[in-house]
Amino acid sequence: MGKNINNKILKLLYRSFDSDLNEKEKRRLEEALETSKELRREKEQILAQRQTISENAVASFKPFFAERIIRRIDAVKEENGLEAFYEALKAIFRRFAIAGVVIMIVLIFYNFKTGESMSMDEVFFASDVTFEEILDLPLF
Amino acid sequence: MELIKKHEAQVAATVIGMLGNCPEAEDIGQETFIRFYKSLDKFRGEASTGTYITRIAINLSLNELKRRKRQRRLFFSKSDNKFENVPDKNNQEDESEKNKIIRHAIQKLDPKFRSVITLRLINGYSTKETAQILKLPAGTVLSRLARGQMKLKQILSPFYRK
Repeated sequence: MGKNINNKILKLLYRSFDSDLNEKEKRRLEEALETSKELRREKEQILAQRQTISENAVASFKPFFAERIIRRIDAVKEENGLEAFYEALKAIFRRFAIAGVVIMIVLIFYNFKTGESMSMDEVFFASDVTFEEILDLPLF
Repeated sequence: MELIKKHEAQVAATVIGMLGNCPEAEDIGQETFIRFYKSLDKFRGEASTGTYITRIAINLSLNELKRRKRQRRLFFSKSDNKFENVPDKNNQEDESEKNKIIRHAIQKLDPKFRSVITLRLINGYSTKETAQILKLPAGTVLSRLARGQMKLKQILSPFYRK
């Protein structure tokens, strides 16, 4: 390919297809094209190649492509709905869990402060207290 | 639906230009629109919808090419011959064969050359738009275009010599 063509001129030729050349470059290229038969042939070949590539584009998928995508988008929407539900459930559970832990800490602290003995059983409400005894306890 | 129909041709040209006319091309085409749908809230309209969708299509195609390359490395110890699968030059009289030859030749190009050739010559984007889509300087796009076309000519040289 263009072994006898000046490399700079060849680059200029390629660039001329995809960007604007300045006046000096244009003149240089025109002069080179006038004098070199090989460069003219190179230009023709590139043009033909470019034309074949652009004409050759496959610009469609199999029929009902849009319908297939709509079905997939519907599935994504459904998935998103379920995900949102699980996220909400997780958020609610988290609140209850945090509230439960806080209550337990307060109760442990309360037992620790007010208990007669400092045993772990007492602190963690595990002393031998019957259900009736619990019911008889004053609330406040 | 309208949006898909409006941009199907350009996505098909991009994806098939990059990957060839294979089953994965349709998958990547579908994935392009799904990704666009999922990223609608992030789309701020800085680029046109078409350019944005093409950018997704080209990125997914490049990822697919990387995946293929990884698979090839896993299953074949030596890289494949660069000129394999180029159909016999005796078939060049047939127009559709000529198209196939060109398509195969494009598939032989390195992805960085293939992407600029696809966007500029197949999709018809300007050099500036191609640079924006690929997030490259315009000068890089121009040099890749020139080198890509030279390589294409080299691959197709048996068909030019008649």
